[in-house]
Amino acid sequence: MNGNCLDIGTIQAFLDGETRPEQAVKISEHVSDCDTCTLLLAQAEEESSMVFSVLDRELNSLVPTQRLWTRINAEISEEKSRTSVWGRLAAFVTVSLASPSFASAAGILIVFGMVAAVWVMNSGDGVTTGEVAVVNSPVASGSKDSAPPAPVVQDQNNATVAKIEATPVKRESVRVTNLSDSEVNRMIRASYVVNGPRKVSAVPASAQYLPGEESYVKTINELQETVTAQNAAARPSGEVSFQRDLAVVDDSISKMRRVVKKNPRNLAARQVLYSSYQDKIELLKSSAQRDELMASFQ
Amino acid sequence: MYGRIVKLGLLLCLSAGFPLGVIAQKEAPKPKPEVKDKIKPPTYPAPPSFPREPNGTNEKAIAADPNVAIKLCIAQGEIKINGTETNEVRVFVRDGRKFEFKSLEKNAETGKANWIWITAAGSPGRAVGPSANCLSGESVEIDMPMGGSIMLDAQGAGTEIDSIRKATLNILRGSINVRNVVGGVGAVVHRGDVTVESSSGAIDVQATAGNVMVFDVKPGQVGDLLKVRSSGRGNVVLQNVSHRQIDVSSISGNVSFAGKFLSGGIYKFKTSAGSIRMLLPEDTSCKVIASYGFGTFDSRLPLKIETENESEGGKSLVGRIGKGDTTNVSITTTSGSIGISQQGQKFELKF
Repeated sequence: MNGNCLDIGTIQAFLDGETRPEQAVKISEHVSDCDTCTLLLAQAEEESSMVFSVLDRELNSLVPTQRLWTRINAEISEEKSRTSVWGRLAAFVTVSLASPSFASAAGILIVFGMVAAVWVMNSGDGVTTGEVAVVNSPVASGSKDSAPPAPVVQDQNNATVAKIEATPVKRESVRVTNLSDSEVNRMIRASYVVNGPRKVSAVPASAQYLPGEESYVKTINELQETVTAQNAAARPSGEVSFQRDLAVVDDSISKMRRVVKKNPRNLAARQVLYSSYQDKIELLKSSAQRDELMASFQ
Repeated sequence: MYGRIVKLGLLLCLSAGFPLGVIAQKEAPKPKPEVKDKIKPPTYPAPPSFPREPNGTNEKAIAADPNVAIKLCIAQGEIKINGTETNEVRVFVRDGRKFEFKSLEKNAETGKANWIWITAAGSPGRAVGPSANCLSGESVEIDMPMGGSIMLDAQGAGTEIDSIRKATLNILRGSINVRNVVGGVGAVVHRGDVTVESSSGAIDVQATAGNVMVFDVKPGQVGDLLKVRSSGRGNVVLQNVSHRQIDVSSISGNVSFAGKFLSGGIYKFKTSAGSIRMLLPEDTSCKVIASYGFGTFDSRLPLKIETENESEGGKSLVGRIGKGDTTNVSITTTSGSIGISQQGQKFELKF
């Protein structure tokens, strides 16, 4: 025993997975070198498993206790007595709007009213929507009419053959107006409604795999779906230890991932990263095997 | 004028919206369900139990082929499996269920069973389910031919296996002790320690939350692999192992190896957060390939470093101990430390 021995509170927190990953690593290293702490840890683990087995039914969050049901009933009766007139009116309106036919009729009328209002305002000031500048091209207020000169085609004899009408470009349809900024914004939004949203890439920027990482991540995702579905029936003590081990592995993965991202040429770090991914796959597989075995005995 | 008419029409439309919506309803809204004042909590069925027969000890025997394969599952009870020189399988269940033998296959020449399934005997009122065929009792003891093999699934209890040919175990809880198994051991225990000693053949041991100790083992034939996995905080201790292919990994536990590396062998040791300690003889000859993220590397044996790369978060080292021409030792750890020492030096192997 030495002066750095751990107290029972720290050991219990370590067993319950409440310590940070760095602290858990330090505790694990100390335990491997200290007989006294190893014995304490073993005793605490034994006690925990005994307690968990006794309190299994109470700790299972899927099985509400009688106290919880009593509390739920008390809350319902208290809330019923507290509802005000406005609350009841709001509830009536909410129920009315929940009806699909009522909601659709009211929605159609509201949309029609809004379109009509916009149309009325536009026709009242003489500006049409289609002639306003597009979203990507800001309206330059005060810009003068800048229709380009019509190009002139000349033959070899320099005779003017024809004047080609300039094809109207959206930019050239900007007119000098006396619209306020709010009115201009309303017009831009209307154009947005007509033109639709700008297309964006379907792949998010965060989903950028390091070389060789994609297959590991896909395998892990598939395994995690299986394990998550099965773990609903797992004992609390088993679930705690599984989550603790998973946290250690995830910490390793995130650390090495940062290192490899920073320096992609660091082959040693990449090797350690792949090794960590393999550890996670093995851990998920063992959890799935345990759950299958548990299911076979139920 | 025109604008005023339009605005008036718009106002009329919006005003008519609500009553029109009400009229437009095709069906009356369903009445709001009454909330009962008292909600009865749901009742859950009691978990299945494994009734212990009040008959006490049950013992049966069946003649068997010397290379018989036995399959069974045990729901609860201490388990002991012993190899004997007799050609019969004898099962002894103390204070537990009645059981029976089912011969799945017989030897065409001798007529003796060479594939036996030991299952709980059928009885009225017994629970039906995947575990209905499992034995259970205070203890289950099986005597079987030494050339036989066993495939066992067990839920919880200690398991001891001695002197048979091959063992394949899948244990949910409880420790496993295997000794004198000559044809290979496959053991998976999800909560408990595993000890394999004085055995041979391909050995594949996996412990989810427990320690693994393997000592005095050797391969049965060329190519037999010694594979040890500890998923949780369990430590792995290997001592005096003669396999030429060793693959050891642990997540948070430490790995300790005491022995020698054989010529032409491939050895892999890997941890995530644990340390790796090696205790090797003075005349060791191997090539060491170490990769460690945030840990340290220390060798007290003369190590001739060929390449070394130290950068933040990713370090690697390739070196040779002795001639190191035919044996490869790969050591990988994320945040643990790596230590190589000489046998006889002060070095303690402990959990």
